Amino acid sequence: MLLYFIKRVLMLIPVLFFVSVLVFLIMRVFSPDPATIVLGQHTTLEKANAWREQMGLNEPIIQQYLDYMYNVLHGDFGVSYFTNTPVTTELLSRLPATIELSVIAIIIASIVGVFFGIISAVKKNSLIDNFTMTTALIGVSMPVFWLGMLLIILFSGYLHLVPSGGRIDALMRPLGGTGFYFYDTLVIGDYEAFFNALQHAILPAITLAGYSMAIITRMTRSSMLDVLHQDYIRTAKAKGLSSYRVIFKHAFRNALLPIITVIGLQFGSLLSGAVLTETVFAWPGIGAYSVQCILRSDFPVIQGVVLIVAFIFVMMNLLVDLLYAALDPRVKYAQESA
Amino acid sequence: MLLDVQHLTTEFRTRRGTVKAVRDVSFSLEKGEILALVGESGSGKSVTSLSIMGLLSSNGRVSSGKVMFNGEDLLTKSEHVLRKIRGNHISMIFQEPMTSLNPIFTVGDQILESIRLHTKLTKKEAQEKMLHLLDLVGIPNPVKRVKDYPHQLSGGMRQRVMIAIAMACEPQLLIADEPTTALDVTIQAQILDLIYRMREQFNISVLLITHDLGVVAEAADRVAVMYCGRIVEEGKTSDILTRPCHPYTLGLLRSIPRLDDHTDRLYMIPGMVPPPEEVPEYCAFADRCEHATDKCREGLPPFITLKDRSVRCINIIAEDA
Repeated sequence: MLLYFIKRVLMLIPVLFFVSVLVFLIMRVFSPDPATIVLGQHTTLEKANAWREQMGLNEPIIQQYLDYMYNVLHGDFGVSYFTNTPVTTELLSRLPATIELSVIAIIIASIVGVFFGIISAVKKNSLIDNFTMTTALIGVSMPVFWLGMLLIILFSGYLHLVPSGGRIDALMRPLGGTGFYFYDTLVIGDYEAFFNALQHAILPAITLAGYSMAIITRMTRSSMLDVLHQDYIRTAKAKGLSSYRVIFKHAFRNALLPIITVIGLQFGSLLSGAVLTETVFAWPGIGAYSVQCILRSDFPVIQGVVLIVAFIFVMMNLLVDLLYAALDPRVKYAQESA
Repeated sequence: MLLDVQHLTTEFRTRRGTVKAVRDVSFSLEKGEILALVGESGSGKSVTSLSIMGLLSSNGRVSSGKVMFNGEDLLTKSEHVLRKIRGNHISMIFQEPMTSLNPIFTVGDQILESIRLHTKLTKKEAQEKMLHLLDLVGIPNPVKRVKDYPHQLSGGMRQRVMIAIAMACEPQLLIADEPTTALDVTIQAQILDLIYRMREQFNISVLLITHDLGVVAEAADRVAVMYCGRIVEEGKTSDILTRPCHPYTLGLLRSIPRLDDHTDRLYMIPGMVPPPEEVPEYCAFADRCEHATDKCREGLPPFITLKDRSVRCINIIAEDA
């Protein structure tokens, strides 16, 4: 197990290397010249050249890459062309918002998705199955910004139950701390601020969860249906077990592998920033921010974001694979003999 | 009498309408007796056993008949009561030991689950019982094996584990649905032998479902031959296998390859088994039968009781197989 883990972590290196080369090249080949964006289109050629020289953009591209990687390996992701703040600071101020939102969204999506997926499978072709599957189909097809706006209009506009955007009311914003508002407010015991943050998060989280929820529901249903037809389920019933035990102990644990996989992948993509949701709800996460940076060719920031997202994705996959081994003895066996 | 199945009819809702898989099947089983239900695939053997257990899939239902077990009709019992009978008084083992055990639990856990579900033994007593059971079904080194997962065992060993699970609560009836079909010939004999020994030791009754007449000859006291959801001939194994009276039974026996027979081609019953929705209301075998007359297609032949058997045929043949 430990050996496997080490092997997998070592495999991270080539993946991240490849990603870094790719994003570096793409930025430099396809992006508009950052100098004219930073200095404005009426700048002189000399000024632009001087700025490029200062930023090291006149070096050969290989030299630029090596310099960049040298700095990255020393924990320095560079400085944003526009704000002159270190990329690390920029990202650290926004990542907590994205992580917080993603965690809430994936929790909602997993609980609701797995629950309805199981019911759907057990009551196949019933009214509730058809209803759930139709809803899931709508969930997969509905554009996120549209769902977000509908929710804002209903719950914020008409019912005034929750605010329409932002992470927390400005006056309640916890100072300092980790940037994770739920954590920060609980640590200092400011429950009012905690609930305020929760109110802000609920609509974007539901919006964000919608798609994942639909995917998870469908995967749970099909995986459960597959397992429920297995011979060992018949054995479990023939033992005299209650249907509850048959479904949850014998069927669900076997159906879990594909479900964990989609949850992991969905969580990975939620964490990499939900551009539309963050834009609709003015949520200060990395999704909306990175799009902004792409539009203005802010190379260091984009490179940083892509590297971190790739890292998150690979780690999610690793986590899923480790869970496999924990859940299914056959997987562990295959690894040991491999 | 332990089990008395009377006029059991089971049907399934399918896209092509309601289909009867078991038609008016009656048989009984004494204490300590082994009865074999024989027939081709699709003849309704497995559905009969699942009807007895109350484990039909959701589109199936018993439309008429009685399943008397110890004098009580199982078909009128609630699911709650049936759960107390399943695995406790009536156990079942299946064709595929490869897939009949849950892959993510150790074999020990799967045996313990049955013991603890139906008995009030403490954890420690249950564990002792589990080891005893594994020993009983001939699994070497039980203490080590209980921690194994099913994929670590061979097919024969898995079937032994299935039998250990089935025997966990010393049932009165064991339903063995093609227990040897998926196994090697040498292992088949061992498993049959084990079932036989369980019968001797615990005086259980066994409903043995198989398509293999060799298995029947080796293990069963009595045999009921099924065709298209109906029992066509029933009697003592030795009588039926040596002197079949129903043309279908004779056909089955003649299809078995024999060592002393040097013909190039095996005998084949002409024609095909009709699909369940096309089974006629007259003798279902008439359209494939060499002896059939017009009278065979006029209505369902009654059960004719001879001195050693009952046969559902109006042109009873008398031939030594």
